[in-house]
Amino acid sequence: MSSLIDKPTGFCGPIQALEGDAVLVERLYEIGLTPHEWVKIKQKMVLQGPLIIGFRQATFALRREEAQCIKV
Amino acid sequence: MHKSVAYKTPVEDAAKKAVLLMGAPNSGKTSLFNALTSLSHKTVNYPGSTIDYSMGKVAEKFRSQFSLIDVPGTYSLFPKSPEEQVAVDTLYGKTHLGFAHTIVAVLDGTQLSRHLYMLEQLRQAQFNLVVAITMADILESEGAVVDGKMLSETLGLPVVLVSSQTHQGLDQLVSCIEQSFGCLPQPLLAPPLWDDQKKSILISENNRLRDKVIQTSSSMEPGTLIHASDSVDKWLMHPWLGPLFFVAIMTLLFTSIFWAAAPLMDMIDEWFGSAAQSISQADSSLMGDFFANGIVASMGAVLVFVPQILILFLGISILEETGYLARACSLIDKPLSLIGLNGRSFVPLLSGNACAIPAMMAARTIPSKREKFITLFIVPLMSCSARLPVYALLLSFLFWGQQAWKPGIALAMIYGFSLIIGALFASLLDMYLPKDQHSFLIHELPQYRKPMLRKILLQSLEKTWSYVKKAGPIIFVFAVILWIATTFPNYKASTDVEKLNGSFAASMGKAIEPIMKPMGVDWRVGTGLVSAFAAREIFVSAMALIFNVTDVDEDSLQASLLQKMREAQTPEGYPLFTISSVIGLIIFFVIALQCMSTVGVARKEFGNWTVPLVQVVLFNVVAYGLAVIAVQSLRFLGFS
Repeated sequence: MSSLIDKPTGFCGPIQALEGDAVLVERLYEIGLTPHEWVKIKQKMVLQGPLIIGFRQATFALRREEAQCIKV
Repeated sequence: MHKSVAYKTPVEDAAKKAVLLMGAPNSGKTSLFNALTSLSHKTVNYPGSTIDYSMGKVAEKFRSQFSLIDVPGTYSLFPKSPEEQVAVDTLYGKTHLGFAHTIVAVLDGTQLSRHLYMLEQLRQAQFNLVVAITMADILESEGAVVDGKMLSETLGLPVVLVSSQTHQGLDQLVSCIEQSFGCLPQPLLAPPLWDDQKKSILISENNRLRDKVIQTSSSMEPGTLIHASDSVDKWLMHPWLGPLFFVAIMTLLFTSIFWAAAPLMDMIDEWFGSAAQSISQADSSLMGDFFANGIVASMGAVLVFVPQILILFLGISILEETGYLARACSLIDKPLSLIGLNGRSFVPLLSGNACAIPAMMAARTIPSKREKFITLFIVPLMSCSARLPVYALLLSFLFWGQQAWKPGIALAMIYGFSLIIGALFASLLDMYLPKDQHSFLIHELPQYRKPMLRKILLQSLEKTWSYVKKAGPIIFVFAVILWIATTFPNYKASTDVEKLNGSFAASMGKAIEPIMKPMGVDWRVGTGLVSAFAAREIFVSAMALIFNVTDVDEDSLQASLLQKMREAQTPEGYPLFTISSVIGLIIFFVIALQCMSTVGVARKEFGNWTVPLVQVVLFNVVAYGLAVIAVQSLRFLGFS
């Protein structure tokens, strides 16, 4: 199980688990990023910038430490 | 153990019943609120645009009587930012509005599966619920089929598909709300503090519900990730090109303030110029001078810049409406996080270029207290629209007779300079403020939307008009005061110079001249700077009054004022307005905190007087100090 942050742009796969800071994990749940949900990396901004991810009909920008919580 | 919260005694009079709209950010709550109340609260394509609650009565056409409350969007009943706290506090009756009888859970039909999390929380907390699925028109155009009846059976709640654009389903929604008044709500449960086990149960329940709902819609199958916005984002959110597009869009926005507004400005300028001259020629008495110089010329000197303010509002509205603003926040998150800010700070900082007051309120969307504090602290440093007339006048002086793009670029550089100063203050605060653990971005990027130009134009005109209404009376009052101060007691003097030198303004101005001298200016400019503490724009009307602009044989007020500024001399016979003194003035206006309304809002947002007072002293001292250093350095280097 690796973090979403380690995957390349274009990766698409199901979430295995959410781990890390409790507040971050809770917010990820709340926006609909739950285990078994499919998530796609649309873009990874340069210079350690945020990741642009898509799931269902939604697009979100996540910081790297936030993407680190998503295990795929 | 959950604490139960009892409702107040239900009010029998339907007109006194309140209905609260709850939903995730950008789910269409405010559009629905506007459609049901026939009000026109601002709606934009940006998550978090509603930052406070608002209330309105349901429109007469629905033949019903109840009040509607619109609150900021929240993803759950566990608030993580001040504006989410407002929503949850209103839900639990902690505001003066008391408890709402019915909660309308507003779920975006195109994002339905994700919005069930909070609905489940509302249901478990035993609120009296009606579910409104918004964006019915978009679902229809995409060929999605949503079975409202099946949804209702699955959720065990009344469900109505609505469209705020076409008004589809609104009558049915009002009818469901009325029916909900018939049932007395259960005693409420406080926001539940679920442990991991309970949270797992909630999530599995949520997934179960979601999967049932998804089967009813062809457009919401798992793994459906592609939508039209992706093709635009391929360019605008490209890892390398995205930041370049961002810089290009912002440069275009701020340079357009000059070139796009020029034709309208010329029209206004000529109108005021000829009006002032006509009055002056028709009546050479003291009264004629009062109307020509005291009223028409001084008001016109400021109002001529209104088109530039309109262009700025238009530009910001287009960015909001298209959905680009949310992307801009993400693009700039990394650089902002290096100075203790958040990508979400971008909206307050950008809005601060229009007006610091709504900008400070927009900072409520920032989850971290520390990042919110730093954002609030530097918002007054953004170049608000009140500074625009001052910059425009001073740049027109520096670039007299040159092509419009040159002052346009210079203006973009002033905005850049204000950002640098803001970044420096933010970095200092970042170094010394204690660290905050909970800083996050997690920012939704809405689908791109074609901007509704009519709506944008109307909203921008409305905002510009409210600017004129707000600033106009202050400018008028100060114009009268300044006219009296520059005319009396020596109003019978044979020349204007003699009249001005013996005036009340001269006596007061000369008292502060020693402070003004290091900035390269004299008491006349000093009087303008002091007047600018009432409203920054008054500096321009003060210059128009002090230099008596209607006396010059020019077609327009601005040309007259610029001509007078070029001719103005110090008592020693040197030009008063030079490259160094004008740059010094620009630096002063970039940093100085002169707006007392901003100080008042800062007190409310910080929750104390200490920080706003520190801002006033610090920014004004730094503004003066840097202006003096700039003027003296430029003179040392040989610039006049």
